[in-house]
Amino acid sequence: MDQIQSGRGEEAQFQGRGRGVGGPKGTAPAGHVLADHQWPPPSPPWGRGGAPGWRHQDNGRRRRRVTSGCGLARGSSAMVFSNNDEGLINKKLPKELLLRIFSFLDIVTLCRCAQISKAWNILALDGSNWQRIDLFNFQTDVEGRVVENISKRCGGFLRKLSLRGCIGVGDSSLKTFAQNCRNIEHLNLNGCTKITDSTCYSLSRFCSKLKHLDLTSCVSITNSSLKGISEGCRNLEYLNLSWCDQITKDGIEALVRGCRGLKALLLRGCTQLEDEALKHIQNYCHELVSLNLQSCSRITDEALGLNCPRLQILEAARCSHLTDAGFTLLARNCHELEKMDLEECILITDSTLIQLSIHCPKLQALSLSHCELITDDGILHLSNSTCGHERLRVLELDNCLLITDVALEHLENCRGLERLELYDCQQVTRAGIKRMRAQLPHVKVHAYFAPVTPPTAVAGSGQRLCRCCVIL
Amino acid sequence: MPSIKLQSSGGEIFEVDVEIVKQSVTIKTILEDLGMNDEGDHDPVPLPNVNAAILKKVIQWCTHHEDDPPPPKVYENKEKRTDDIPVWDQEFLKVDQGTLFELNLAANYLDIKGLLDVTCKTVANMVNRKTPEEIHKTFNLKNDFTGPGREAQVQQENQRCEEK
Repeated sequence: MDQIQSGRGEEAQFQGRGRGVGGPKGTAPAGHVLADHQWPPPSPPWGRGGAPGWRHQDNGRRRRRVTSGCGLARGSSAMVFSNNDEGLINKKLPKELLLRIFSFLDIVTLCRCAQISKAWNILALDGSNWQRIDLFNFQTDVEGRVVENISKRCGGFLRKLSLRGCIGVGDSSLKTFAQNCRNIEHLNLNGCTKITDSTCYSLSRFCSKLKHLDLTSCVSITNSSLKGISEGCRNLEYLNLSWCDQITKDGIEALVRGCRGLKALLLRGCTQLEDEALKHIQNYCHELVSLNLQSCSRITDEALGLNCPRLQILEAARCSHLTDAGFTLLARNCHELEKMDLEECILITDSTLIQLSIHCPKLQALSLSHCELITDDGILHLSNSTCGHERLRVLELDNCLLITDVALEHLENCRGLERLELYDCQQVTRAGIKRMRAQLPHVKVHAYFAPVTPPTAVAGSGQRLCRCCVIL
Repeated sequence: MPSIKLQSSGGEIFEVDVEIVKQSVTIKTILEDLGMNDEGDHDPVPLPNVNAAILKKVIQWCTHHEDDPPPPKVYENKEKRTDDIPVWDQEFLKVDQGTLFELNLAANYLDIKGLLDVTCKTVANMVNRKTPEEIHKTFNLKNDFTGPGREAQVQQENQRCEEK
């Protein structure tokens, strides 16, 4: 473990390898500008780029600063600066400004800066630079060793790490990471397909401060991971298990018993989940704000009696068994709903829209894509409601075949509307859209009108001749 | 529009619109503390840490950015980017290193967040993704890891960060 680790983040002290600051003592090498003088010269704190004492001993002559160990001097012809210009950045800028500049550097550059000089070594390794790391841009290069090195370097300072897309990272590197970075709060492992339950055990053992965990597409994760997390990561507020399709209701039950503070739970593509999973969720997670059940096609109306009064976001696309009955239950419990994605909940009718209009005054975004039973009447109720007048910003009605220009007239009441999707609403016309936009000039309408098919040839004109063959 | 007088370190006086110069939280605070918000002739506000040339440039920047929306509250989790420096600012900061650092210092002392950010980002862009040799050259920095062993050691430690 790197000795330099200690003391970082507070007063940045340079701790060498057991020797004092300044290198070997004695007399300067012969031929050196300071020959016959004390070596090393009395030095100030290293933060300001070099000992001013050197300049005074220069005899006033301008000369190049040739010193042993100076990377630039060897055979370099690039030294066109006078002594006074050397290391201007270090002379002018105080430590806090240099740290502020360093805060914009990526970690590879930071490591390079640590090689520049002693002063920059201290600055580059300052704990403030190592609290958040995103390796997404390096993903194809990131393998286990990199994660391990970073965790040793950052230690307890690391709060946020993204390894999104780093397919080379596996369980053992993440175990090292968990052991070293016990203060981690935000961890993104989206797309780290190599990891298994073992990683979640490591997180459970060492990372009790974890608040945000993204395991999207970590397809080897099973219910055991959730049991582990529920025991060790009780501060969890955000958990993304999208596409972890080995998860079943047992895992969810284990999870929510321990992680009662969950605010966001994303279960997209967890196709094995059934209604009972949601019963467990609503029994324990009363703080839930965001729930994603996209493609959990086994979910039925029973699951929507959700006792989660704080729910703001519900994504239920492709839960095709849900009907008006379920959404009525939901609307009556959840008055804080702001965003709902009901794409392909094909059984729902205008009745759902009426219930939402009554019970969900804060609705901002609603997708009814492919809900083919929705008619202009449902839109009428929506537009006349509290949410319709002020709050509604986004409405997706693409592939709602029964929608006509009449719905667009109703929508003129929605003064806050920003975006409207009307793809494949075959009864909507250009004229209808134009009329609506005259009332709502700021709305973006997305629709597509296929070019008119050219008329077929008039009957009776005889057979047509094709260019590449002759029809007799 | 009311104006106030600012005095650089060398004694030169600059008269500037109050609204423009209030982008500097430092100056804004001084004005409030001295009760200088009302009309009338006032003594110039001394800025001993800023010389005339730099003060002139700072005023130029603030004038151009007078109508900018107030900077957003800083969130811990916000990603730090360096590729979003406005074109005018990029041109404005095409100056020698000495001036750039002085502007950075002045922005810090005068607490002008927008100018502080773009100057820091500009310097960061001079460092980002460069090799150590290039960084040495750009800023004329001396490698003072004395003794042959030490330099190699530090290089090794930090290169491990890049190793696969």
